[in-house]
Amino acid sequence: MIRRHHFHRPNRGLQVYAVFFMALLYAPIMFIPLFSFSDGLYIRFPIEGWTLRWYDELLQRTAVLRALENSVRVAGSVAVVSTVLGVFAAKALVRYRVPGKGPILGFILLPLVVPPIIFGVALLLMVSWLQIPLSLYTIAAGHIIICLPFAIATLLPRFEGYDAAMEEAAADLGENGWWVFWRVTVPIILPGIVASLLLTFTVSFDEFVMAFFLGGTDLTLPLYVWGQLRIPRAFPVVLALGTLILLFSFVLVFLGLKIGRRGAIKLVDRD
Amino acid sequence: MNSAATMISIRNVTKRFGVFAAVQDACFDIRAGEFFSLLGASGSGKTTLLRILAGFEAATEGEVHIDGAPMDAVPPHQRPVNMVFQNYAIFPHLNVRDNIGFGLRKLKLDKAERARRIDEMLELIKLPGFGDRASDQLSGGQRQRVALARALILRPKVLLLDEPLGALDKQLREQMQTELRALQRSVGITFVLVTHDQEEAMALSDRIAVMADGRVLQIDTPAGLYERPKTRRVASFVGSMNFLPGDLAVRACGQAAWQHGKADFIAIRPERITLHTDHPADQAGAGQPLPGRLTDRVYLGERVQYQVQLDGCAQHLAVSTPNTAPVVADPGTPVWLTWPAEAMIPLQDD
Repeated sequence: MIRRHHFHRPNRGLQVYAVFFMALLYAPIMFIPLFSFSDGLYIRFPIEGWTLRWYDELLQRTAVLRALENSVRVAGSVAVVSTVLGVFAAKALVRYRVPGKGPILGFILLPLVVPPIIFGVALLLMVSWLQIPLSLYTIAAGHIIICLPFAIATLLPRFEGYDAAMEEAAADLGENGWWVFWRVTVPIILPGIVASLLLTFTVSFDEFVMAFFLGGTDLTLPLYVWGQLRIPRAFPVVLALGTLILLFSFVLVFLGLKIGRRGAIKLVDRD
Repeated sequence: MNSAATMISIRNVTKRFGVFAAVQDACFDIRAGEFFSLLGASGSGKTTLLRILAGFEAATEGEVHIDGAPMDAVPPHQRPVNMVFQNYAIFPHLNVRDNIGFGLRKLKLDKAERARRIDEMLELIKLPGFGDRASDQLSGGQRQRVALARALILRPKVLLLDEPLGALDKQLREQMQTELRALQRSVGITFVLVTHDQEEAMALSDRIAVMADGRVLQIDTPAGLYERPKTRRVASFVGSMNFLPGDLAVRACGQAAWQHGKADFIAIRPERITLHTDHPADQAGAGQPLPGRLTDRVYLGERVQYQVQLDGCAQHLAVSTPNTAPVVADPGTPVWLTWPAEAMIPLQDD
């Protein structure tokens, strides 16, 4: 039996509190998958019977599939663009003496704290002033603003986590800036790039407010769900769709964090 | 090899970061095939000077020529120099083979030739069969060898080494010193080493430039620096050294033996001083032994280091005797010190 210092002794009260807190946080979300398997039209206990027919009905709707396709296309491009921009920004912030580095970083991370509705309205005003038609492109533009902070926050530690001498060594061995980037920088930060792609994809895929303001006639998945909520008969199908989105998002974020962390540990463990 | 041939010519090089001058007016040549060291404490400018040679920093003033060609406008990837970095900067995503062969891409060798050259290097650094190791499965000493091979495979005119042994423990460091020296002789490439460790610089170098506060204080062979330091700073940086007012030191060895005239300071190495527990018999022409009191004794294994306070003044002298000498005395014992005239190095104030 290992005796522990009182500093490391488990605190029973805190443990109970933590479990209670997690339950309160996730229980409401868990109602969505639960009732998506319920046979009844309305959300109420006790559940009368179990069924998969809402999922079946979901797959019959071509509008759902079209919205899904739109969402994947938007989220895919947003993930690529914001990750590429994030790589450049993170490299510049970590590697070069940029004047006003602090304020620049704050400005880049600003969308994390500014309500999306403000950004949404502002962008809508600008887009209509420029007479750009609302479409999936304008949604994607809005999403890039929201996703860029996530990309940079994921990539910054990757650049901080390895010695700048790696890049100097590659230059010393005869490679110019372009080749140094592809042969050394990219492979080393690759876990961060993958994590950033997954994370920004998820953020864009699930985003509603920007899509609501900036969307045209083509719907993304969250917009489609919003539309269906007004039809009571469609509600169980929405729950089934919500369950799938939830599952998909969990998997992506989990993967992103796992990949990002594994790479980080591998770099730090050396020496 | 023509020993007079100049490989690197550093002409009035100054590097300023803002108002801070990291290197001030460095001006010297490094010969082809030479093992040359830049020795100094941290902040002395030695690393900055090395990075100027590699092309990672641009000199604010002055110019550098390597093998006769001006380097000012040449970027790092086009210079005929390669570098071993302080923490080796082994690429973590590549195995040992690909680390060593990294610089070969531009040579456009066929597969067999590339493999042959990498094998040759693995042989040279005594790591044959390590080629497929992942870079994080290497010990500190092995990483250092891989870094060496990676730089040497390109057959540079100059190899730059930035504290290459600093990350290794003492025993390994001494072993690597021997190997590094042998390697330099066998490849015949000019080595420029940066170090803060004077023993390392002495063990490895043909010549050493001692630097402090961005300035080159003295350039000489290891023996020259140790036996004929020009200034007090160089004397105290290379090995340990006692400093005495000139007249006091001359008294101890006898005026007759002293040929140098007046000096501000006399420097004497601790191992050149003889420690007596009895008043030594006066010899003809010798000076008066200086009486003192033993204040401390440190047992170092091969040597024993004593501190002696001279009677009548606050001056402490360090005396170092080989462990084969009879262990003389405990602190508090009265002792007498003598030294030969040739052990005294006259210094002017600097």
